[in-house]
Amino acid sequence: MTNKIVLGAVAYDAKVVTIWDGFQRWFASQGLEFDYVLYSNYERPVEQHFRGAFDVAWNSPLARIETERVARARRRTPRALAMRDTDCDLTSVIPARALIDGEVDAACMIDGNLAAFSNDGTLPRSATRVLAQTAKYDHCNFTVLDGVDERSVARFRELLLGMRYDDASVRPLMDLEGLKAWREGRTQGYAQLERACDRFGWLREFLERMQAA
Amino acid sequence: MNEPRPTLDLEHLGFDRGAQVLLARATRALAPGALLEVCGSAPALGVELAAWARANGHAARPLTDRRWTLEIGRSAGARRAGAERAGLPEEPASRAPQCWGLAARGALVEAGGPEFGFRLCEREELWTADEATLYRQALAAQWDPERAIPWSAPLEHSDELEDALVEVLTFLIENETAALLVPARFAGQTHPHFRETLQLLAIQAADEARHIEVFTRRATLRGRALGLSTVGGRASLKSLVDEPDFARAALLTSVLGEGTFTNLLGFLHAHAPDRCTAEIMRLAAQDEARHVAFAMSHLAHHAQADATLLARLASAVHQRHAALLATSGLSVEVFDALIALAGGSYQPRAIERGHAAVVELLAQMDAGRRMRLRKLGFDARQAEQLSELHTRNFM
Repeated sequence: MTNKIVLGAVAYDAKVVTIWDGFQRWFASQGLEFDYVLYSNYERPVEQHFRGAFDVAWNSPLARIETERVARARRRTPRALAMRDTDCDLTSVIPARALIDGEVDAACMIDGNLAAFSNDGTLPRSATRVLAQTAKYDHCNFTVLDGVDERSVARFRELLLGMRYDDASVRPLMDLEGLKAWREGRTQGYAQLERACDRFGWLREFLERMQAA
Repeated sequence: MNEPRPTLDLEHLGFDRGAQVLLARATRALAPGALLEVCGSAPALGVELAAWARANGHAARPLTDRRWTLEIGRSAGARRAGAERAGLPEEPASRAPQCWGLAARGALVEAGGPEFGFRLCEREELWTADEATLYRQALAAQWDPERAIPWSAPLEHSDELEDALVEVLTFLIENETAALLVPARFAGQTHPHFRETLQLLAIQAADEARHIEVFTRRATLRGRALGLSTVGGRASLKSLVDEPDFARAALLTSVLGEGTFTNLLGFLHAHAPDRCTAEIMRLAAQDEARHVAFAMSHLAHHAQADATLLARLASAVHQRHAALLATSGLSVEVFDALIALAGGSYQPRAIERGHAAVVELLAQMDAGRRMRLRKLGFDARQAEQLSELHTRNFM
């Protein structure tokens, strides 16, 4: 039987189609039948994942926590498969007097954006001071639920982790997706966000709707 | 004994002042796993350094609040894995791969990327060492119609003779349009690795664009109506525009067509009824001679490398001749106009002189074609036969 994987992801940008079309061709060349479903928001894919609409969810941190909570309520077992090297150990910072139009005094952003805005001149550092920095956290994560075809998932994971940046056939896709290597999936990097969600009751509405509160 | 660890002192530079340039420079030569010590005093440098390191596949660890260790990641230098040089700046590769695309000759080409579809990518059919010189000559010989042509020189000849000239100019414009389209079309099919070939084709097209301009401007200078575009003329030119093979097109259009035109333009220079026309014909003839030289150069080179080329070229002449058998060749109007121009008037004795001059022109055209065919490697009999089969329409 052929290995098949359907991925669920969010169409946050038009380039997402280019990225997954590219990976689709590459996976096919490696004998894995790969397809993807795109959503226009971050919550519906979580809901659809539990309905079995796809095998692997490309989860944002919040979606990952939502999946975890719904799974707990429904006695399902989510598993983190892999993530981008660039999604490990991020921090967020609060630069003050950062926004040049003078209407806002502080903003919160990922450290990588601070570096990018400094680099392109958007945020002259002479006019900016970093007020605070969070502890390290992780970003997106490929997640599967129990009951998925293990052989296909193993092949998918093996192919991801085996991708090398010096391979010209995948490098343009890795550049588009913004990584140098895929890493083993891990979940400890979401604890800060989960505590914050609980503190502000952020997930309540969604979990009630999913009957997982 | 431990090697001293390389250190980069960014001093006061942050990422808003170019720190990444020094980091890229310092890490470029380091192998995966190597350690670089970075220090600097810019505010929040640690935040940005960690983000930069992560985005570039490295890992940054703080030692103090102004000092970090950077561990070089596995992907360092990976972009250059499998990269190759696109030939040498001074000499192209024998075959240019489609994946080199538009890369400068001699550039380091990152592996992967799209395949282009340049049909002409073999050095032996395109490129010769003479081409750089030919291109420089072409560039140096460019002329500005506005300044080079005496547009206000007196036109003292009769309207009838002006009509004869306009008839010939109408014919020239149509022919030069074919001579523009043929190199322009092959330029789009030529692998840009063969830079000089592309440059020569481009400047050839630009020359023809200028000829079309000056012929048109002269034809309308006295407000006379343009002449006739014949079915035979169009059929003859269509066979040039449709020719898909670069070498065959070069023989038909440049060696035989433009070669014949150098004689025609020389003739028109000598018999022009006014200074303006004479100068136009002189300058256009110079340009055409270069186009012939370019075709002669790459065809002679190609014929040396490919023993079957001459037979293919000969068959091109035969096929074109067969295709044009049913057409009428040079229009009577153009032929008669050339006689009138050479005679200088419609007086019987003048026409007699003009007729003799045109007969002489046809003989010169034939001799020129035979000489060029001989230079390409055809024997005397083949050259005579092929020249004889060349279109009556000159181009």
